[in-house]
Amino acid sequence: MKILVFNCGSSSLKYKLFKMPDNKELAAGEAQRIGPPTAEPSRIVYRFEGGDFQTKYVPMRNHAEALQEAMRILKEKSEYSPNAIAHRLVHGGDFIKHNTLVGTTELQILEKVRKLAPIHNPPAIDTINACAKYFSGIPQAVVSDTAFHSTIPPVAASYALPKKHKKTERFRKYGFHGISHEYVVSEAADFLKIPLSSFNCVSCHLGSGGASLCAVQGGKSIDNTMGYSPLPGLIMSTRCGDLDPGFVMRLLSEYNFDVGAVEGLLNRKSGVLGLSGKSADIRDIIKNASKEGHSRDLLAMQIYLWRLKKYLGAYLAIAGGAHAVIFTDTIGESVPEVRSIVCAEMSIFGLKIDEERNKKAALPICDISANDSAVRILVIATNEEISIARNAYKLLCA
Amino acid sequence: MIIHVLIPSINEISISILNENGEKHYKKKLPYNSFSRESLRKKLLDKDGSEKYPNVAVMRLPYGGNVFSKPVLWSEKTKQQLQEISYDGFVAAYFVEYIEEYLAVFPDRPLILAFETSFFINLPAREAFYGVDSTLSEKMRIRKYGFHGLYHEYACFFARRQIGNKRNVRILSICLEPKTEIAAVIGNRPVMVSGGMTPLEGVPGEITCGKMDPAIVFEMITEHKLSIEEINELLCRKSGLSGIAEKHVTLPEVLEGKTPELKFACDVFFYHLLQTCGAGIAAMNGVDAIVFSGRYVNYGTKVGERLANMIKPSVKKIDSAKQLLCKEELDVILSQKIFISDIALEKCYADARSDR
Repeated sequence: MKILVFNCGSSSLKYKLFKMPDNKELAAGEAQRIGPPTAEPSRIVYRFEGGDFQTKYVPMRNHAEALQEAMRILKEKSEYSPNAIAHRLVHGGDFIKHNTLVGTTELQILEKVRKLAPIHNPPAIDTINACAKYFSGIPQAVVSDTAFHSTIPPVAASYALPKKHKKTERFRKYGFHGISHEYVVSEAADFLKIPLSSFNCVSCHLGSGGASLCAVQGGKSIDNTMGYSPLPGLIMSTRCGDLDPGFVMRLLSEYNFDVGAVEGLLNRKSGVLGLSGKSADIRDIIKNASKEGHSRDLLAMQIYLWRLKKYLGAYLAIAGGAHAVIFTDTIGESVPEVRSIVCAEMSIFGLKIDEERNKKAALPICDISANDSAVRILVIATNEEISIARNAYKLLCA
Repeated sequence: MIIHVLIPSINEISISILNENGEKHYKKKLPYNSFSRESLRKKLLDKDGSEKYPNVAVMRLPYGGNVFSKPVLWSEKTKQQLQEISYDGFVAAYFVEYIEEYLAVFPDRPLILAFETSFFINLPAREAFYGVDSTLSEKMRIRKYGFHGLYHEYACFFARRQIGNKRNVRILSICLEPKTEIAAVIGNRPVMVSGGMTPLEGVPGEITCGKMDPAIVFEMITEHKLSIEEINELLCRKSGLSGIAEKHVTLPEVLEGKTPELKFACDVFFYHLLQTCGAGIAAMNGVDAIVFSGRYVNYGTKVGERLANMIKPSVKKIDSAKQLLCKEELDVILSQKIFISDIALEKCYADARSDR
């Protein structure tokens, strides 16, 4: 079975065609700079069968046009027509709690979750609608980041707000980055030869933008550092992470900020960018932190790493005897300094990193823990698209 | 020596009279609306006006901002400094009014202010600051303050004494109060605290929400059209364990957990406690002692047992960490504070006379 996976960003559309259940990539591409004209032209970067990437420059005003252009490229090889389509949905909310096949009813339900993730959900839903027309008769599946976290128990998902108050009863923790967490957790269990159903771990998805930790028990998510929205938790590139709700109240009441301004401040001007004052990328900050005259960088780095270390301790405590700690995504995979500092002096939790192995960590999967570490420390390259394809395949075979 | 200890809480001010050994002679609670020089005279002075006349008074203040790193003697300068750090959640004017009423009755006596936040004033920057623009943090005094510093400081002092005063002993201090707070302390230096910029953050309290996604506040305003005042009321008075249990509850009622709602509130409380202790243990790479304090300290053994069982699968040698109960009440702690602070009492008298 050939499954075509779409993963939409606000101005991008990634696609990958897999042969399942072999997990073999047949074709892949990314439409970039979709939407209004930017400093560089819109283009599609693509390849077949793991070959070299090629670039096609073509204007794309929206995701529907990007889809058409991408499909033109895919049609170059007739054997690559898909048997099924799978889409990533960042936030399924309470309406799409589990991964699902898309029918007429689901198309209507999807409209209800459009606003939940204003950057990611609208283009994904537009692409699903466009596919319903373009690939009429071919089954479509929706795989959501929040579905993996649907197993978070009420004790962890509940906020301590009035339970029966009609204006607060719907607030709960959804968790994010579920597709990536699910993938690396399953790869780690395979690698360590532990049945997934009895595998406990902490997965650290450290992206260059968003980042979250996930506590896993018996292969299932039991907590995630993000919450009702992707704002809380770790310090991210431009998001503040955990914050005293009293601070928001003070900005609104004492300093007369309006809601939009506070939202903008905390989502786009905080985190590493707000702390350092110049870069949103923790890699730049780590490079500069040791240099003289970069005290803000040093502070930003310390706060970023300290929050991460505390959450690792918190999640190891709740995971109840973790077999592994997993690092993944851009920062987690490629910045050994982060892994080294976060895992240092954690022997109380049975964690001991091997610095040489850490420096030489090779992807897609690598064990960087010392031989006598009770908990394995793994670096795993994430692959959200294959995770989406696997979930869709499961649905289609069910 | 007679010491007056004044402790303002949510609805009232408690006044205790103790001697220099911390032995208590008298304790009375006065609601704020009846706290006046007349009522103080009536409660604290005998007919001849002498018996309960203090040598010195100590008052607990919940917040000292970045200014008060230790107890200070009340003076015009202190008054001005207090007013400068006043904000929505800490209205200095109320406290100033109570102080002035008190001093109208005992005008020639030194009054020492002790702050809950002083213990945490030197928290490492990595713990104290949030992930927001650092220039904004400085301008708006945005940082973690912690709100049960007096209990934590004393409990850690007690724990160090109990386990042999080792220099870098790692202590997890759990203050069981209506708003429970956890601190990780190495030696006598705190490195982590669950309380935040306001007492809202951290483990859910009896009526306060605890840790919460800030985006929920945005949605309460934009979607549910709640005003800031309504949200404030909701988060500060109607949430926490009471919000979960769907009725007003105290922490002991929750810990007893006699109904499904209370059991669930109890599970939520322990879940947050476990996570915060995990974070504290990571912050110190271990734990030598867990010390309980606060008005609900008698529940420390019960809380400690369940906590140790929950944490056991993850933390090596947790059984070797000593669990201790520091049962001293806050007024006794405060009465002793004047002797261990560096305010010499003779100097207090002299300063007080020259100030007035």
